Amino acid sequence: MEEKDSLTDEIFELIHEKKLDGKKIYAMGGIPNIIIIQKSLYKKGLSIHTILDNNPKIEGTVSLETTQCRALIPIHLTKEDIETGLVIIYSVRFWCEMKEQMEELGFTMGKTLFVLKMLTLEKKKTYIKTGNELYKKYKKRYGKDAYFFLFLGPIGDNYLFGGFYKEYVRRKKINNPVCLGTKNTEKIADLYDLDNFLMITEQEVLALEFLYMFKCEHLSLKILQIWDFQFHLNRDRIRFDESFTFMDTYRTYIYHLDHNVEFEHPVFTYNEEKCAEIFDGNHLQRGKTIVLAPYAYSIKQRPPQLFWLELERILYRKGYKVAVNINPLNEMNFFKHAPTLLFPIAESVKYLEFAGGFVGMRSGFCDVISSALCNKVILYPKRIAGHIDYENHRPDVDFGGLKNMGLCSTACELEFDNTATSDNYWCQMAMYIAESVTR
Amino acid sequence: MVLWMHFLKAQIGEKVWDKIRKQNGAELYIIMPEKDDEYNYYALLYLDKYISRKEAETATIICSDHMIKRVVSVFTKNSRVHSIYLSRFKMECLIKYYALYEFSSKVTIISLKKPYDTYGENLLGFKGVTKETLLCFDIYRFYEIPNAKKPYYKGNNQRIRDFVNR
Repeated sequence: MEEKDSLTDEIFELIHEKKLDGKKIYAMGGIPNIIIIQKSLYKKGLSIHTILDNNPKIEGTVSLETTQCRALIPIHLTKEDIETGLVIIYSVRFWCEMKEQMEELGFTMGKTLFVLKMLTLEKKKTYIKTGNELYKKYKKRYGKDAYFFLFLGPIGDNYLFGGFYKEYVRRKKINNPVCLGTKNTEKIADLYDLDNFLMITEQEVLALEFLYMFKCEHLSLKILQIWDFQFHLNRDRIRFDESFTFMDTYRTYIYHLDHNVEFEHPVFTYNEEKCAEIFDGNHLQRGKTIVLAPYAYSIKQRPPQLFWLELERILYRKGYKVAVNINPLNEMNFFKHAPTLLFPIAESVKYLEFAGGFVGMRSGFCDVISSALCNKVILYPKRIAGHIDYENHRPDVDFGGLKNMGLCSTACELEFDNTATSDNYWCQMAMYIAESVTR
Repeated sequence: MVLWMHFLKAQIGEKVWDKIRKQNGAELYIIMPEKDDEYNYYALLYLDKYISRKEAETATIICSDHMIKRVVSVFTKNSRVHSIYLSRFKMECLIKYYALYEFSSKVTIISLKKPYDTYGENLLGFKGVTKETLLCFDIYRFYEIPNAKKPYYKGNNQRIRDFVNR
C-alpha cells in the first residue's frame, strides 16, 4: 500500500513538473507494475500509449485489468516513436538493464526516460549509512556478542524460517541471538519463541539488507530471505531444479543444516471459548465446517470462481457449513453464503481443527496450517512438463507439496489444469474435492 | 574497517570502472574476483555459450591473475574477447563499488561470495550440486549445463596445464 502511494506521488511529481507534457508515454516493467503506472496516470487524465517488453510473446495487445493497451518489443520502436515518446520504467529487478537498453535506443535520463523508485547511488549510500547506525544501535542495546537474524517475506516464508531457527542457533552455538523482522514475523514470533524479537520497518529492513551487501564480512547478521530481489548478485536458481523441494531452500540453502535435521512445528494454542463464540456468531458448526482459501499470491494460475461457488454449493448440500479465509483488506469474499472467518495466525491450526476441514490454494498459509489434524485439500497448478521458472518460484506439487516437503503426511494434494475451460471439468473437480474433504 | 573506508574503496572502484568502460566499450564484462580456479575454469569453458546467449559480440574479462589473462585464448577463438589485468586492490575496489551499486547490467561476477555471500555455496555437494552447476545456473543463468568441448593445453607452463587440462 505504502509503495503504491509513493509511486503514485512520483508519477504525480513528473506530471506536475510538466515532464510528461506533449509526449506519448511508453511504460516498461512487469504487468502489475504497469497497472500501477496506468492507474496513477488515469487520475490525472493521462494514459500509457504503449507497453514496451522484450518478450515477443506479449507483443500486440495486453490486458491491464479493465483496459487494453498496445505492446511492443523496444527494437520495433521507429525513429519517430522515439522522438515523440518518453519511457517510464518501474522494475525493482530489471531497472538497470531496461534503463541501459532505453538509453541505447536514444532516450535520455531525466528528459525522456524516467525510472521510478530508482535506487540511485546517493539513495544506496543513505540506506547503508542508516543500516550501519541501526546495526551499531542494536549492538549497543543487545550486547557485543549479539547475532542478528533478519526475517522477511510473506507469512509462509517466516513460518519455514522459524522451523529451523532454534536448531541453527544451537548448532552454531550462538549465545545471544536477536531476531529482527516485520509484521509477518511478528505473527509467528511467539509461536517459535523467537529470541529478543524486534519488529522493524520495511525501510529499516532495506537499510540492513544493503548494509549486508556492502560489508557482510564484518557483520554478525544473517539475512534469511536472501532471494529478495534487492540482492542483485547471482541470486540462486539451482534450488528450483528438478530434484529439489521447497524445504531444501530453508534447510540447506539458507541454514546449511544436515539433511536429517527435521522441521520443527511449533505448538499452536487457542482460546477455545472465543473460537466457539466466533463460530456461533457466524452460524458455523464445530467439526462440520469447511474453511475455503481461494487466494495465493505465489500462484498466477487459479481455478475460476465457478469452481469455488460449485464447491460451496455441494458442501452446503452435503450438510456442511462453509467459511472463507481471506485477507479482507485486499481480497474479496465472492461466495454466495459463506462468511469470512478471521483468526490469528498463531491460532490458525486450532481453528481449522475446530472447523474440521480445509480446502485451499497452495499459499504460504498452507505451510502454517500443515500440522492441523483435520481434512486438508491443497490445490496446485499442473506443471508443464520440463518447464521450471528458475527466476521466480515453483508452485507445483513436486516442489512445494506439503508431503514432499515433509510438513505433513495426511493432506490430499491435487493438481488442477489451469488451461481447462469447460465448466464440466471444474464442476467434477469441485465434486471430487467435496468428497475428499468430508471423508 | 569503519564505514567511510568501505565507501572510499567503492569510490576508487567507480574510477576503476569508468576507466575500464571508456577503454573497452564491451557489451559484456566478466569479472573474476576469486582465486578459485574451478569457477574461473568453468567461466572460461562456457564463455562462448554465454556470449552467444547474451547476444553480445564483444566481451572483456577482468581478472587479477596473470595466468587467466594468458589462458583466455585457449578457451575461445573469438577475437572480440579481450582480457585485462587488475591488481588485487583495484579488484577489491571494483567489487566494493558493485556491492554499493548495480552500476551496469553488462557485468557478470564470477563469484557467489564476493562482494557478499549469496548462500549459493551452501548447496555444494547437495543433490549433485557442483561448482560447475552453480556457475551454469546461478552465475551464467543457463537452464541446463551446455555442451562445451574441453580444451587441451600442450605447453610447458605447469600452472596452466593444471588449470586447463582437467
